Amino acid sequence: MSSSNNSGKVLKLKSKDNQIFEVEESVAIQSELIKNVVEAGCDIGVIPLLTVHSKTLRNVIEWCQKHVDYVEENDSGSNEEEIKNWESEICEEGNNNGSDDEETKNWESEENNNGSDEEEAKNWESEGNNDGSNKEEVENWEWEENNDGSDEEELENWESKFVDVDKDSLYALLLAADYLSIDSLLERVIKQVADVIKQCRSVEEVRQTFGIKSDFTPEEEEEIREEISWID
Amino acid sequence: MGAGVSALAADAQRGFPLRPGLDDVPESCISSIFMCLDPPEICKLASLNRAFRGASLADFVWETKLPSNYRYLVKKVLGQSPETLSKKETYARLCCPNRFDGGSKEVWLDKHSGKLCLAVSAKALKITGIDDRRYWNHIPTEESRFQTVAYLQQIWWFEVVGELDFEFPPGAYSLFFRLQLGKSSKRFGRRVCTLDQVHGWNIKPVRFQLSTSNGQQAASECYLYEPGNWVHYHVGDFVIENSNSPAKIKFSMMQIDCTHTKGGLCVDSVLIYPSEFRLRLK
Repeated sequence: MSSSNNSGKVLKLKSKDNQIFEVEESVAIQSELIKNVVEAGCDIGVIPLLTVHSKTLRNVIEWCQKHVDYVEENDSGSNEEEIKNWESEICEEGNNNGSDDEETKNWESEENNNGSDEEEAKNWESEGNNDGSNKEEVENWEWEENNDGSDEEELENWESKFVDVDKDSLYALLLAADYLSIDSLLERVIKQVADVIKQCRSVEEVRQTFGIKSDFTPEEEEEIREEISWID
Repeated sequence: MGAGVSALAADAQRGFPLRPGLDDVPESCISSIFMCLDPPEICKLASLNRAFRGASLADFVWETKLPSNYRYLVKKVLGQSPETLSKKETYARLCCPNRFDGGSKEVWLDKHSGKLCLAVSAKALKITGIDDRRYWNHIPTEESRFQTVAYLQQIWWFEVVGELDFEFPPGAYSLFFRLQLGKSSKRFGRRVCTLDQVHGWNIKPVRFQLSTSNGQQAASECYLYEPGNWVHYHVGDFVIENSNSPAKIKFSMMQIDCTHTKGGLCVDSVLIYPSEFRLRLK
């Protein structure tokens, strides 16, 4: 589902390997970097993202789109008001037996009182006055619109799948999220890296998993060993 | 094809790695990763490389690990001004047991969670009859963090009372008396426990109580058990909502039924731990 209530302005982003991506402004400004460029007001043709490869940029745009969609689908403020209005309308219709009966009678007397009209009137009465199904409808609608719990969970699951990638892609995402200043992505990738680290049973395993080489002198290494002796 | 490939080649020439690794991640990102890890993990990772070491020193990382009232702790317990130490050093120093109040109390942070633990020595408790050597003695022992315990030979009126004035970080805490029936010692390098003076504890239970200055109270009753071993007797729990003012905690244990004597008991200390650590003491 794409957004429907923005101005529809589209930005052009150029990846490190010179691929152009056309992205809606509302999606692109999830990046603080791009947002600043837009707010600076210059008439930019293409925004060059010098350190982000197209493969990564494609994923980053997908992330931003998902989050824009999520916010729109779950704008709970307006939902609550809508429900209240709809509830009061429905309850007036369904429960206002007095005026329904009257209306039916008036309608009946207005129209030619033939068979098909009587049938229609009966059907309308049962529809309009069927409190049971109205209440059910309201309840179902409320559950669908306000079931933030499962929507949030769905987003979390989506995010977890998104960051469940190989190390190289994870670093690329991390560097891109940092460079582009996309808080939601940065936070989630950081958490993923931390989770991978936690699963390593030793510092050596972290070193191997992430390919980190030591750049310490032997003296520095000794210093560090002393510094951390308190944790044992 | 030309533009893309030559750009990459130019990058390589300038020393940019072709494949990014965690080596290239800015220190600020590494510090953010550290926010998700616990202090011992952070310290170990500091040995990876210079960037990790640098990131592990970041004050903003350690500030999130320290208890909210760490400034009070540094002043009260380390006797220093908080500004003289980096946040990492503050954390490391507070994790070591620190004596205060003339050496009669000890406080430390649990190194994983940063939560506060506190011990009050028997020497800081008001023990009825403590000065009468017929009833009580202080005996040295390496089985106490204070290297000394109060030992009861026998008495009718058994009453031990204590009080603590301390600013706790917000949270739920449990209070225990650490006691042992029997006197232990080392003979030829082996631990030996003398139980011949243990008596009177199975007639009536001991009553434990605690109360706080903001009206919380707890009490429990228990027959002392497991002679020859140290036992943490749970008195009760209390909650600290905010740590802007010191909490005054009073606690006691009593067995004052004077129809029978009781004795052979070692009183080591009173311990206050975060409530979630209770299971560790079972």
